[in-house]
Amino acid sequence: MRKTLADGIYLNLIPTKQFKTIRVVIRFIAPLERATATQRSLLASILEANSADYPTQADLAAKLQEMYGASFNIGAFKEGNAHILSVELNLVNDRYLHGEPHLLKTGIDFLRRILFHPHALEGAFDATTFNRERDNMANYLRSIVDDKQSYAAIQLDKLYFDADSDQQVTGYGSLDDLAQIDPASLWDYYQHLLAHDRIEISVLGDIDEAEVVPDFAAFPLEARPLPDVKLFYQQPLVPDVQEQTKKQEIVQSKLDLAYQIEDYFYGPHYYELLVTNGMFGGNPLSLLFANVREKASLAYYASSNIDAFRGLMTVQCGIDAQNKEQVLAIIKDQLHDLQTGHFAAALLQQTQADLINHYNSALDSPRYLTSQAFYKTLVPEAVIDAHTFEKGILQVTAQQVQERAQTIRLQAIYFLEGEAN
Amino acid sequence: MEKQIYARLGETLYSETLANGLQVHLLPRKGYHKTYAMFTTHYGSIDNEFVPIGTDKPVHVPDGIAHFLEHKMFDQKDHDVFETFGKYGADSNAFTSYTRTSYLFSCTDHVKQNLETLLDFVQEPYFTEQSVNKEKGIIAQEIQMYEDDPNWQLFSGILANLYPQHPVRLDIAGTVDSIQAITPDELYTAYNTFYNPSNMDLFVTGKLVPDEMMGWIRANQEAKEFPQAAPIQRFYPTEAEDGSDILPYRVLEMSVQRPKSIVGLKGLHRFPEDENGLKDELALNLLFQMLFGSSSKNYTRLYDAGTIDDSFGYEIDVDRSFNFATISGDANNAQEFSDAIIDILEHYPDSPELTNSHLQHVERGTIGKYLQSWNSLEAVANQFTDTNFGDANLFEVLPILDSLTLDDIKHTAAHYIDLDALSVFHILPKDTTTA
Repeated sequence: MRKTLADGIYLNLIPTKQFKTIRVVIRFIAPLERATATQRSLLASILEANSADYPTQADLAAKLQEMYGASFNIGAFKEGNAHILSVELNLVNDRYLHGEPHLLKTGIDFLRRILFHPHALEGAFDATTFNRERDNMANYLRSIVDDKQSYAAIQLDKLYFDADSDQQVTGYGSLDDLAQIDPASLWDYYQHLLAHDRIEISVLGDIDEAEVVPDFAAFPLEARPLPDVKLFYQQPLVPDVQEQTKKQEIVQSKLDLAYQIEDYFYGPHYYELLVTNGMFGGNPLSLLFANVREKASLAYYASSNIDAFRGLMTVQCGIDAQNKEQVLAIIKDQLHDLQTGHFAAALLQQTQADLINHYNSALDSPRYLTSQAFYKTLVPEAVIDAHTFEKGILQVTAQQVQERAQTIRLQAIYFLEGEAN
Repeated sequence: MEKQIYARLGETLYSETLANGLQVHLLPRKGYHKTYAMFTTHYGSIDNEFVPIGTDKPVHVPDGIAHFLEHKMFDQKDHDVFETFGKYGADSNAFTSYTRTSYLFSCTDHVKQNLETLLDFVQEPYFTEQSVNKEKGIIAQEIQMYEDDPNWQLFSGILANLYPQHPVRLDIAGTVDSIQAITPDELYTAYNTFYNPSNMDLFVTGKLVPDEMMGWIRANQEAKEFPQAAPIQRFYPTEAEDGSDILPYRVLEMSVQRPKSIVGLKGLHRFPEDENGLKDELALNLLFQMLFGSSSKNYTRLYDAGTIDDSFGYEIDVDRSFNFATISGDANNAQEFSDAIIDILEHYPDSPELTNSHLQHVERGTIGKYLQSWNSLEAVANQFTDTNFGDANLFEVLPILDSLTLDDIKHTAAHYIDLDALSVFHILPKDTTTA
């Protein structure tokens, strides 16, 4: 059930008795912009660290313990051309606890204090908190290079996306932009966010509408026009595949490829795209897993993923540096086999069964259910339910897979090459 | 089939030990769409010296063989197991730890076929020279992937310090060299010894009908024959009882951006394998939360001073034949980090953190986290299988948490925490041009 609390502010209630918890998610949605991504990311850390009512980490942690170990976090990420600041609180359902702790009411009040009474003074965030969280974030951004899989994926994004595109920044921002932010400018931006972002609140669990709605309606937020977010990102094809190699002192090399795809989230050929990706590298039966790993023993992981908001498919594998050309050739062959219809009927059937299983399994995850509800609000024309999904997947034919595969275009190859120390 | 009702959790557990020794536990969950099954042998990477079934002499097998065996089980004589699961829309996987190997599937349809597939492939080994050799390349890549992971290096480093003898110091997957020596014969020896049903258990949860499912399992098992099993004899090297063989400090230089620091505390006493063991483990967890958790003054002080950051964490591992605790994180100064942690450990009996009201807070938090973990079928299956305290299983956690007092915790801590069994491992950035 969806309620409009004010223009631009919505409450989505998902009643279910399946879980022992109640999950609350508040999402702030704005257009993705290079300039604000870092501010939003730093805001997530600062708001999560403390507030006026809980001025130290220990105070805040004690409050969460008092709420029976409520898990609370704030994160920043991007989806297509949107940037999302997401506030999450998971609470135990009262019926599993002694007495009547009214945890949901307490939890909503807690979120109100966190969001509307931050640790700040005279138009600026608390300087000590700000400096510490900024330094931690800088350390985190610097250390991403130590996680080789993530690093290679980020470098592939940089290679693939247009140089002037906002997609160049990661969802959590950049070091250069971080250096420009101060406690007062971040405070100003936060006021702007509270006044202008689209706000989607979701509550999932054993809940009573009459109890929940007034508490959220009392949040001090004003109606606002919906921000202009064109969710789906598109860019023109480049004529030549862009290649980049970087050498590092690592044991295993990382080979990452980017392909442009024509289809988007629940667009006209979405189910065909899901099946095609699944057969290519989406599961342990896929062509990439079977050929790069099982047949040729060249990798432990070799898989493909789609980003249905950015028209992008990626392939990633960890290999020995000297096998790069051989692995590239195998990957190309697998796509070629899909494009020319050289694949077993069983692979199509198994991939369909796998996708349906994944969809239905996800219905046991509160996290998935709230994010599914959220995506429905972002793409209201999409029909997202188990029955429609199963029907859509089962209707995909071998011929359609072949056609979809033909629309997948290699655009970039990033190679993080290991060299002996 | 035994039926045990846990009213406070709103759950019912069904259990049976089959004639062949296999222990089966079924936990139906209302409203769930998925069925999740975990088939486990109590055989892990540390079990590298044992008396093979039907013989009387101990053998030593190559490091990494339990994990290798896990990979090879998926190759059957005439088919690939992933394909059979795939046909019935199930996800399947497996993992090996220090003390166990678990095979699992999850599905939302064809549960009987998938359950039989799981039981059948794990109980039907098929190893050839050719397929064994092919796997070596894949596992070598798996090992190398971890070698580039600094957090993994940090954890391995402290284990090697704490356990100069015990095989828990070794990588679960072995080394690129050690796996080259693995042969089909050795795989069969390990398999026949440890995959006897009397050393295994099956846990299924989610969407299921207990009577019906237990019937399928019984029928499947009764149709198979297994050798008579004697208790398995495993051997571990002798360790210094007073911890005097522990390496107090080592450092590794690596191409990382920030230093990493870890403090390890080796448990010199075994945990009882009954309810008292579970009680002791929970007591130590509460102690560590009071000393190092985010609600502690220690945490705030060190976080505010920049000694620790969000990567800070601790864990307590209690397992068959060993137990230890680690406290770790990224740090601007690895030495400052480990000094601060050791200082807290050295003075813990007098710590102002150990008050009744702080204990009440962390108990309440732990009860809530425990209940939250019940949403995940995977977490429940894993925690249930991981708890080696006899009849005191995952379901007994709430009453124990309710009953633990500050005195219990201090008493337990005094028994297990021995400051002579401390060690430190650092990872420091090497001068490179990779930044």
